[in-house]
Amino acid sequence: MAFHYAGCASQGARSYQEDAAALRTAAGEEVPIGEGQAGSATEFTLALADGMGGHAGGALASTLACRTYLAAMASSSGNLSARLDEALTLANGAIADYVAEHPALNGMGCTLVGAAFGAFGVEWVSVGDSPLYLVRLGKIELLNEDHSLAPELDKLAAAGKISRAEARHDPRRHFLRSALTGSAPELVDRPHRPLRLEPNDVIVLASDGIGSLEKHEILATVEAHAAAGPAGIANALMRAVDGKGEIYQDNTTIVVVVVGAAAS
Amino acid sequence: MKDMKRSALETPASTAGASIPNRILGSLRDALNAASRESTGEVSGSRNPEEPSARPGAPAAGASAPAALRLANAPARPPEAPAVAPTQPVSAAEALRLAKTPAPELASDEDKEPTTRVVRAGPALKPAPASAAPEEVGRTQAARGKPKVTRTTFHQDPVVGWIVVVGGPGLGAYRPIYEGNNTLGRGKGQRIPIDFGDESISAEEQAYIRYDSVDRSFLFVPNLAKTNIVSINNKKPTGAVPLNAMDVITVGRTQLAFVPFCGEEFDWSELTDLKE
Repeated sequence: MAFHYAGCASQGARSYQEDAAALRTAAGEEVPIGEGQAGSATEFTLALADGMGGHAGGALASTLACRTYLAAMASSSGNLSARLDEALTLANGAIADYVAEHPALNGMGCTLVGAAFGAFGVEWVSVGDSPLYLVRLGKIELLNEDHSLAPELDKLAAAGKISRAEARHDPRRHFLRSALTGSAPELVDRPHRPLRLEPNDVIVLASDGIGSLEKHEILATVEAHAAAGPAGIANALMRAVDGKGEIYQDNTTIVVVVVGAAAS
Repeated sequence: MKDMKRSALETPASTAGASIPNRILGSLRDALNAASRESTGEVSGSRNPEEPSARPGAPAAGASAPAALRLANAPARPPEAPAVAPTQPVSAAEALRLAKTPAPELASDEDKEPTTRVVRAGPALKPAPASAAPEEVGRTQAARGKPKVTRTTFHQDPVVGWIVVVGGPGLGAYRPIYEGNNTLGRGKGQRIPIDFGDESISAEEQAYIRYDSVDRSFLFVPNLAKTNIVSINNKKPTGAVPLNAMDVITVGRTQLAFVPFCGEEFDWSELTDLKE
């Protein structure tokens, strides 16, 4: 099973980039995603982090977490889910160590999605609100759990406690209930087993800047540009985000993985 | 245990209209924890195996998807249609359900709570009164009949709201906000001095909080000429933004919650016997 990947990144309305994303193939090649790199691989690990904690801290935390995560995945072997978990712990530990040495950066942290792709499909660990989507047969599913307050607000709205508009515009939607800050994250999302992938499946991993798009808009964009390959899809999604013209548009990083035809 | 952490996401019964602040205050602690992004507690390995975080928009054509969704969302019931024809790839929703179903037991949660930790309503915070008048020494005079209240001149600039330090140095303290434009900074000469020892706040005019008694609105205006970035909730405004009750302002390493006194309900100008 071959995977074709591509990514792009935008600062949105911010003066700095706090997202980081990178990919490491089983062969040991590390690809910093986000500057338009694209390629193919049969087995690789993808990491994406969305930093927080101010200008310096956020970018540092996300880069540190991604790098540590991929390095840990590269140097470990054995049970995949145990490796994913261990890499997460190490990435979090790297942030803790850095903050211990630089107390001024206390409070820096990031979300992290680490996803391993291979013949088994995809398996991931996720902390925070960077969405991992699967598009298959005209449907879209969010694979990882959203650790922001948004689902809680939507639940309140569904229960009729607050209006949908209130839920939608609540400034706390983007508050995180769980993140990598050096201490143990409160919530970690992981599947019980790898999710099997099928040819032509499209996986979209992004930072929450993509939240300017509704889920059905993401689906429509992916479907409309499916023929253009991962780079075409990623760029189309980014254009759609830019097209929204949000005044406070957050950093957005989008990585698209398209599953190729089964190996014959 | 998952169950200990779970609680119904309740708001006070009187959510209608008037008690909006209660609703906001109820979840303040969680919101603040989230805002300061300090996760405490241990890794919770639990996750919800059966609920996809959101549903696809409309149950359209895809043959097996609606059935799969029903399965995913009603785990207590025995699976009605477990046979997904293996000739076709399973739907995205079904694939997710398979990945998230724990091996030994098929879903047994009585309820499909999507997370292990939820915002819960707590006791409402009350803003501290501006100045608790120290008890007069000597005998208190008894007031008889209808108490006569006179309002002639202001004892001080009238307060229109407060900010309460909810994170960082000075935790628990508050500062009044006055009518008009308020400078916010570390210096003692600021109208809103945040002088609790956080050196990462600019000494002067890190930001402004403005109350306009004509349209009775609060505005927060960051001073873009200053080094450190201020944020509201977790937005980093580059221009004036309206302030709402319990918004959390982060300056330097200090968090301030905003508590309005004046607004739609009240403004000092309503007291007609007041003479400037």
